[in-house]
Amino acid sequence: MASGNSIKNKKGFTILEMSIVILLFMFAVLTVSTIYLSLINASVLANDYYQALENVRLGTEKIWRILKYGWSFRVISDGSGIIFQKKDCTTTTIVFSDNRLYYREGNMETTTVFDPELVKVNNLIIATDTPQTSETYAYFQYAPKIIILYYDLEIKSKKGATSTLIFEQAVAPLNSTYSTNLCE
Amino acid sequence: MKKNRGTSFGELMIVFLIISVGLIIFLKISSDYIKSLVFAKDFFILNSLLHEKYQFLIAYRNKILERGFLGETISIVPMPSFNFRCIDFNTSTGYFVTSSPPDNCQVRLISGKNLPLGYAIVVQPLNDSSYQIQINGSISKWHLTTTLEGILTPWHPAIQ
Repeated sequence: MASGNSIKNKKGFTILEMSIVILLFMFAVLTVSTIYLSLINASVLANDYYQALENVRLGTEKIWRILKYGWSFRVISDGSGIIFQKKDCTTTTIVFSDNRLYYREGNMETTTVFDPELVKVNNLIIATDTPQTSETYAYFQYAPKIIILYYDLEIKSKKGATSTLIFEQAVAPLNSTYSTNLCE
Repeated sequence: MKKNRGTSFGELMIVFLIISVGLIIFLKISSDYIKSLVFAKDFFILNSLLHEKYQFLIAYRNKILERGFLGETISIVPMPSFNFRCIDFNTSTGYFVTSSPPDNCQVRLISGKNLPLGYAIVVQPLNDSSYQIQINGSISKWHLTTTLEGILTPWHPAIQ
């Protein structure tokens, strides 16, 4: 009899208790999964931005290298581009248009400096210094000593988020110190 | 007969503490991703600034050295002394502007925008009429400073 009473006295869980536990568990799972997803999203976003930043780095490095060894620089009147001759005297153009930065070398196909999927160009301004004399006997007398490029970019993620990247790049062309322009 | 005990306050607190710590760790990792991105972006801008100023110094040196070859009489102009901390470019005149404020130099872009960065140029003369250049850049937001070092020689093709 005593053992029978003991079994009777043992209480199980009521349906209400079970429901509360399940509700709490679901709430916990929902919270954790939301946070986990936001963590994954942040990671994807950061990865996209790093890729875009790397693309900007590659593009600006290419521009720097080509301008450094170029000749006969001429900035387009509104500062949105530059026409010059590459190391091998090929006429080359870098120009900003339609939110892209275009690069054209001789008769070759026009390409974009930055991947349009990753980088949107909002603005580009190019400026050069004023020569110290009006003489044009030697190349160094009229060649620009500095070329400044102002970039207003937007780096993009695949999910559509964007981040502004504004900076300047300067190039002191190596050949601007020579007396003779080898491309003329 | 033993009484059926519910959950004690201490046990509840431990459960909450564990959940809170878990949440904080998740949020911290998530925000660190974004923070590292902003940091990488700012660091990229700072590096671009230091390289830009270094190119300014090279161009400034070339301009000063070439003053000797502009007139009819060729004269050797001494290497510029670089006795300034800041170098900028005036877009309306097309000339370099140098200054030496007591604090870090402000960064003003050719578009007229300012950047929340600072820099200062430190120059040490060397024995062979060259200069050791140090360009110190900083981002106060991150308490980050970085330095670009180089040597400027009085090299110019016209005086070789």
